[in-house]
Amino acid sequence: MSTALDATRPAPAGAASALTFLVLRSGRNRLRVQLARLKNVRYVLGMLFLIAYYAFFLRPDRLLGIRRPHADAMPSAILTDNAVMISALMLTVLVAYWWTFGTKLSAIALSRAESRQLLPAPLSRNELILFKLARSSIATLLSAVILAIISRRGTTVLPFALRVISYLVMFGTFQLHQLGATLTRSGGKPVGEKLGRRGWIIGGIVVALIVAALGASLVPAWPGISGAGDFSQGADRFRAALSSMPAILVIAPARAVIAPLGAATIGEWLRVFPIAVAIWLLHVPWILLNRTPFEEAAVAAGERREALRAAMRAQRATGGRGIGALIAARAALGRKTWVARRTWLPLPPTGPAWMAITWKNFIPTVRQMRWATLAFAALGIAAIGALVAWISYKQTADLSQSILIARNALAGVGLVLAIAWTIVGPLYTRNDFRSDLPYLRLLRTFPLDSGSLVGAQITASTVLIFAFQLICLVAALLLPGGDRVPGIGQRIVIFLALVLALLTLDVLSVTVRNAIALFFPGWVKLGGEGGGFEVIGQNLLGTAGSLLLLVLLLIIPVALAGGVLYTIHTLPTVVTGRVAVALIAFVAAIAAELWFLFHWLGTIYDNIDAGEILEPA
Amino acid sequence: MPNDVIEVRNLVKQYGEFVAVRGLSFTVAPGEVLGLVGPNGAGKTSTLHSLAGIIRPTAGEVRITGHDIVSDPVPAKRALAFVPDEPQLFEYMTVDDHLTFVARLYGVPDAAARIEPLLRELELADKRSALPAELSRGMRQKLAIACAFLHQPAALLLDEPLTGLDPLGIRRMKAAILARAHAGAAVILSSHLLHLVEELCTRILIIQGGQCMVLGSIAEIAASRPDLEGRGLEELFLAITGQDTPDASGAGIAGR
Repeated sequence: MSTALDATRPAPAGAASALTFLVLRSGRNRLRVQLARLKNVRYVLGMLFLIAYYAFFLRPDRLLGIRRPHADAMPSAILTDNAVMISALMLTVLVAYWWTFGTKLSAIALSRAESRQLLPAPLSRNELILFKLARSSIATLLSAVILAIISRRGTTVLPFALRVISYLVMFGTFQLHQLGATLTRSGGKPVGEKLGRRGWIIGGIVVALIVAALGASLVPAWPGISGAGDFSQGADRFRAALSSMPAILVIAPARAVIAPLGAATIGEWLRVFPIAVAIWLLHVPWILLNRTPFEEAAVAAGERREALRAAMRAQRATGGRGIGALIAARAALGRKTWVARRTWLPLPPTGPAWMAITWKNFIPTVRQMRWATLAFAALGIAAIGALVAWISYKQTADLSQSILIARNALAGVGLVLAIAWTIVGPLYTRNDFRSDLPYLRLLRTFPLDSGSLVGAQITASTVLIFAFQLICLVAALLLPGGDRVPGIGQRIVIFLALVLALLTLDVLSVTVRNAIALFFPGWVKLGGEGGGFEVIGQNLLGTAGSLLLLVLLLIIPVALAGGVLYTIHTLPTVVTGRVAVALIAFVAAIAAELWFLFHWLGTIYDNIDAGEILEPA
Repeated sequence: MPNDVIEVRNLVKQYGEFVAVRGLSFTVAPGEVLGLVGPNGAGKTSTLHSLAGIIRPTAGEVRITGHDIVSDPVPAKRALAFVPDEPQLFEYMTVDDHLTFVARLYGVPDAAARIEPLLRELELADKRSALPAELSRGMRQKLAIACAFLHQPAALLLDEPLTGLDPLGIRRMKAAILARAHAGAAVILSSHLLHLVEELCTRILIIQGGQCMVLGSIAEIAASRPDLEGRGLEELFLAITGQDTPDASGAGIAGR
């Protein structure tokens, strides 16, 4: 597909033009390959569906004559002042996480081809970093454009171009800060290596500063916030507290980056945008002047050992200078960068074959799970509970009542998380065909019928998603207390209904995402992670599309359950009995749909052309 | 004569307008090692992928132990193992995990008893807790081969199985392949290393442009071309595929 550099043209001047050529030509050829898929009827239908979906999603007024929401509203900002502040707070918390635990650096990771060809090449470290940032910027730009189009629905005052560059600067800053934080934390050690005490000290200092600043502003203001007459007043007071010293010191940078999206007039945008750009640009010298080698992390994302070997060869060839020498020297030391731990979930050597596939798909999550992260999360939840209890105690001076309020608050959070995870979980839990299709040639040799294989893949992701929800639901079941919440009997009924409903939705949702991957393997991102900020726009649209399909799949089960409920509503049985019968009809309809879907997707899987899929690189 | 384990009849594989395999027919009996050779783009990989059930043949029939790979794929695949030229391993599974996974997938009843000697045979015993990223290219290739050997397949399809192995590894791998053949497996070995093909294979299938150019033992091939009598496989191959130009022998380069 790619065209060689034209020998009649003058040779490109330096690394920059070669890397630019690589980025642009790869992008062009990729687009051509994607468009070439339209020779296939399946992809043509997919494209037509996509166009119809976007047309409906973005301009229902033109397509169906449906009025867009807020169509008559006065032009306003994309984000309100309160939304800007809440977003800034969330971003600040996220930044604290990056400084404590580091990031996966998906934007900076080198593929195997890149590590084999670019690391031994005469390129400086900064050229490599700039190349990877430029490359990931293409995805960021796409996300910015998508979000700029979507945010038009709010009849914002900002024109399209200003919305795009606002998003672009915001995502660009996030990306650079992730990289900068990780490089600084590593303090000269290759990125990705265990940092030991240093990492915790830096992370601890950053977290302590943020918590102290936020706490010093929020704690005195809390009685006013919790005593507000309505939500809007409470939110205003919350924003005012975050805008006061010292909280504003830690919130300000994040708020400045998000502020252009909160501009209500062009004049305001012109006032806040230069500050956002300045913060973005300040990251550039921070990263480029940082001498930390990042290549190890980049290579690890591809194939660490292969790249180290390439670098060693490069070292020998170039007399032992530059990046190749650095990596080769580390490789020569025989440093072990990854220790395989025994999994606590062993696979019995005998039993149903499909379960081996499900188990295989579990293993990456089990191996990547950091107990420290789980402990941190548990401590964080306990701290929030303690904080709520303490604030309540300050107001009521009743310890048991305060503890009860904290328990109920945590139960509420658990319930919201469990439900929200039905939407978010399938996006980030990709332990199914989305990770396995790059291994299609290997999967095809396995002695499994395709329906079982589809079932095994979907089971793996579903169980992982549901495991988290179950923990949240158990918390929501056991923690509440007091007179205002339903009794344990009613809570058990609600718990069981939610278990059934969420599990059903999880299976359907994962099935829909796998169906999209199986139908359009040449268009869907396969393998590895779901991506970071740079693909947020695509993820948003993908999620909306999946939800639409999910709704379509629920039509028959809901109609059936409703029909059953209507038919038997005169029967002299108790309400719960009638609901149970309707629920059984609902689950039976879902099961029938799934049976059909698994076998149908199995046929699709059998007919995938292996050439549509890029193998692991 | 024992029943053939691998039966291929009029196999055709077409990608759009391009015909990669044109009416290939051959059989491989238990204990036989068939060498599949041909120039780049001859259709070797398409043939092996069709046999392994990775791609669906456009026309023709592939049977493994009597089971059609298209209409009856599960029993057919249970009887075969395929080792690709580039080992495909799951990055978060250790050597042990891979073997346990394969044992479960293929329903190996005495997995534990088989894994230990297999690891020793392929020199992986001290790497059983390693992830693929910690293994060298050769070690990864050995792991892929161990996975293929574990369920003692009746049909063994090997695509460049010796790539990345050191000389001792190559010697041991040759012995391991022959041991499987002697135990009754039907083996197809695709390789560009013609001296190894000559050493290991009982019959050779040379393909070019997706067509069978010649099929038989080296003696039979030589007998069909009296002008090439006494020549080795390399010279037979170059002559049959029309690549025996002076430049191909190196004389052209040496003479410059």
